[in-house]
Amino acid sequence: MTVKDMVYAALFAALTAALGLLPMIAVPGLPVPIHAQSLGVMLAGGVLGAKRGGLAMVVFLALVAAGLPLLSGGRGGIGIFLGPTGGFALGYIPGAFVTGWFVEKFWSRLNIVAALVACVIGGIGMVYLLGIPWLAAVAKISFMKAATGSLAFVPGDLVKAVLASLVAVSMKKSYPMIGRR
Amino acid sequence: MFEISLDRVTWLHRVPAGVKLAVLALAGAAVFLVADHRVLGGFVAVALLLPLSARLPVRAVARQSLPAAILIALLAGFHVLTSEPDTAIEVSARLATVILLAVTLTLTTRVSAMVEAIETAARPLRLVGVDPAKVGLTLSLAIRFIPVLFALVSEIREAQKARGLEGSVVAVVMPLLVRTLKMADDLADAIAARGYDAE
Amino acid sequence: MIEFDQVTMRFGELTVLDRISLSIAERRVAVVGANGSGKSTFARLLNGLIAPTDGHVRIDGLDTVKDARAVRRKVGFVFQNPDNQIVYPLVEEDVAFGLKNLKLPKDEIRTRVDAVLARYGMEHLRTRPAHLLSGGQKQMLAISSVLVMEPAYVVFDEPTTLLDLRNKRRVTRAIAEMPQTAVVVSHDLEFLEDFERVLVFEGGGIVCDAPPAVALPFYRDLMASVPDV
Ligand SMILES: Nc1ncnc2c1ncn2[C@@H]1O[C@H](COP(=O)(O)OP(=O)(O)OP(=O)(O)O)[C@@H](O)[C@H]1O
Ligand SMILES: [Mg+2]
Repeated sequence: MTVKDMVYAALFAALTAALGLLPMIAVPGLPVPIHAQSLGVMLAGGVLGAKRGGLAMVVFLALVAAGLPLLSGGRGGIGIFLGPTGGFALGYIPGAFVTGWFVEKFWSRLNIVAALVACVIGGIGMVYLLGIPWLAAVAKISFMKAATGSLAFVPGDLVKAVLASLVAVSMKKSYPMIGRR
Repeated sequence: MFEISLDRVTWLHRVPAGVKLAVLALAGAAVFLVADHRVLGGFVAVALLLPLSARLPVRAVARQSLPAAILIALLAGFHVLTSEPDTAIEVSARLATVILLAVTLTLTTRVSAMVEAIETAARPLRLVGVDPAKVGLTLSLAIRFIPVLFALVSEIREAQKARGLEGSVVAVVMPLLVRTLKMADDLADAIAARGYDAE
Repeated sequence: MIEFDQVTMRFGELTVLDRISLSIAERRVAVVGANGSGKSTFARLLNGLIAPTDGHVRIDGLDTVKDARAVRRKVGFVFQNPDNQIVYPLVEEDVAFGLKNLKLPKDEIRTRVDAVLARYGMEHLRTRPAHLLSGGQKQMLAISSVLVMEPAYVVFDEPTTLLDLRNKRRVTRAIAEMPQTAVVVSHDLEFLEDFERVLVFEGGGIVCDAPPAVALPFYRDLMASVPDV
């Protein structure tokens, strides 16, 4: 781990915390309001790449576990990981890593579509991949029930994926971070 | 630094963070291994008595457990409706125990003590090439960045409001990133300039 | 003794410094020049934050590239924006950071932190979160965190640019009073009047190297003569 790895990971952990301050956006037609915080997952991967992005989420979650009230609504503490939705929180780590992995793969020809694919697979796919089975196991409900219950959040997450892709592509033009030492 | 832990000294505050974490981990594992309702009831009772014995304010405990409590109630209701009342009791008792213990830990442990405990817990990771001192430094850096970013977010939102761009997430995130990445680069230099060796 | 031996610094196509040679033995040296003239680049070369494209920079005979670690110990660096150089959340932790890097024993770290905080009247801020300090207090913290390491040389890159008048005085007084050799990049010409030597940067080189009585009027004329682009 270089000094740059540490500083960037710390920065995006703090950024994810700061996104929790933005007000919820109620989008007409969506079942639940969108919260900007989980945008941090896709931004970390999409801007920093796999390793630093994943590390940023490790740092963010470690601070939450340590008891900083960084989750939306001023929540925090180790209990977040032990409840039924703990898998979604832990999913932030592979979520950012996989988003970053794809963005690195697509880097030389990164456009909005490629970035969107990366954000959807990483920032949505990986997070649900951990979150749903965890929910099913802890709550003792069937996998299908857990999956359909989580479905309400998918449209909001898709909106976030579009936002994160826009940011990732403009950052590549104005302040490229991937390949930077 | 703002934190969830209560700024007072109770007997639970005096218990080392590592001990509390170990108890939480053991209780968390144990509660998932038992199904006997009486034993589960015992777990819940202990989890309720701990915060009471330290006279933690009910409001603070409730505030931190509320989102989980709502979810637990929903799940219990679901299991009752699918005529599995036994499962409803099991699931809610287990989750209530774990959440209450975790909230109690969080309310009675300072962030700095938790960061130290995390650094200690990270020691075995040395074997896979993770330097625990770096873990500590990275966490401190993030704690140091948080108030700076909070202030910047408010500042940028004001500026965007003045330009009629309120509500646009991208209009907040882009300037935030450009300004803070420059800051991160400078900070990396400052760390190197003060003799920090990453190797 | 600071020595530049035929130092060239390029960023891609852009040559920022072109074959600079000089040696510095004075205790108060100022660096002035227009925006983008290479002052910060010059400053960063001094403690090996960047390596010259060509040539060598030596501090007391130590090469800033080959003996990077020893040079970092000798040369402290204070940046323009205190927010970007405070590493730890609490004042005392930040002051101790550099000393931990020197691997000093705990007792000595404590004594030195106490001494430097007392020296700059900041004992009462000891356990304060750094982000709650005023701009001037933050810059004094940044300076203390560097001076506590007892470097022989301290480089300042525009240390007062972001400060109000009162805090500017506080910081310039601290710089004036410190025993170390100071190399100061600044646009505050009044402050530089008491220096021993002033280097004026322009067009990739040093166009004037003289005491302030000569160099400052030269620099004022130079800035007045260049038309806006
Ligand atoms: N890492 C870098 N990569 C590319 N170009 C750089 C880099 N660092 C500096 N430059 C360029 O080198 C030139 C000199 O920069 P420098 O920061 O040394 O100027 P300065 O005299 O300190 O200016 P200012 O008064 O604005 O601080 C500028 O054109 C700058 O854009
Ligand atoms: Mg400069």
